[in-house]
Amino acid sequence: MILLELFLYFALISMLAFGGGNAVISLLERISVEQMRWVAPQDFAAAIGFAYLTPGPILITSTFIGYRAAGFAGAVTATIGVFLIPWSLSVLAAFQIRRYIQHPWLQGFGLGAAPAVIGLLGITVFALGRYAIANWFYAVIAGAALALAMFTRVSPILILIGATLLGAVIGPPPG
Amino acid sequence: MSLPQLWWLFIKIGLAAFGGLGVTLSLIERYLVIDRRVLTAKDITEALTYTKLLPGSTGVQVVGYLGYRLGGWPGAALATLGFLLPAFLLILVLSVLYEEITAGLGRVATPALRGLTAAVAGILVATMYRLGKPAVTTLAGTVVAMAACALGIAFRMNPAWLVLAAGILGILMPHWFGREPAPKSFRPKEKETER
Repeated sequence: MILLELFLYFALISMLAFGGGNAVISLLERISVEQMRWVAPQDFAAAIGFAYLTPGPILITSTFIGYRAAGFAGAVTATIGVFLIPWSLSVLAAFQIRRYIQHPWLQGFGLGAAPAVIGLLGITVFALGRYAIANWFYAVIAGAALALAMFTRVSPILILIGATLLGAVIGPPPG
Repeated sequence: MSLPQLWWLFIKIGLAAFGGLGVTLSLIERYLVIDRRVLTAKDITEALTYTKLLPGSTGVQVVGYLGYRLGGWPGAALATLGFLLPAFLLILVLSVLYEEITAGLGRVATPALRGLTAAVAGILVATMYRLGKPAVTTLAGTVVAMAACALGIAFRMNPAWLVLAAGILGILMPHWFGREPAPKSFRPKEKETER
């Protein structure tokens, strides 16, 4: 029964995540901490921290909550619940939009929306920068990463590993 | 590109997609646009545009959308399963070891995470530039991009609304955004006689 609850609630949460996973973090907290009591408040905070610490989407938090609620089966159920419907919708969109992509309205929509989509990435840059760039040291790391990604063919993965090690080894404490 | 290759590529992307959507886009751009040339920057922007309008995790949706472009429904499924696999396994390990880890994650975590996040921000700016070059070609486009960014930061407006509003502006005023000539079947007849 708890598996069905997990699936339905996570599916519901995913259907309300307009604009991406970050849009439903507070709803996720309300349902999984206050309403269903699947996890304690401090567990939820740790889950969000883990999701930022690991690669992949923020809603992978669901895997953690599902595991705490109902073990391995809960983890699988919550993960499928939170990703299945949005994934199906996007593949359906790819399928349909390809058929009508030459239509003038869809062309116009794409032309106007594309710059907005690029601009929206700036919000993420701003949020990441506000957290990470606590002092000049991290500003230098960000600048170096930008220069490497812009002008060289160094793999982004190597840049990320290098920056993490630099932060861990010689990163001054924030402040 | 074969389906196993697609699957493996998205496992690699999923393994390195720290910081969510930004790095995911950077890696897709690097592997599929620059290295393998099976997609273009415009394809990525298109995937972002339409998945931003749909509810759910945008990263998973962009991967599903582009996976479909590369290999139909099987491609979409394999790309997404590959993309989510590393994150799922890592979170599972963290869930099992949860009590031990919360005690141990101490002083090293914050500077390391800050270094990582700073690099993510830098890489994302380079990705914005490369995706933006074909997408933002006019003055109006530049204004829309800057307005979307500013409105999102200052008023925390939902991205889906901003994309929808910009898209409608594009339907109404396509020439502002450097409309490409419409294909013959859709071109209104009077346009032909105008000149």
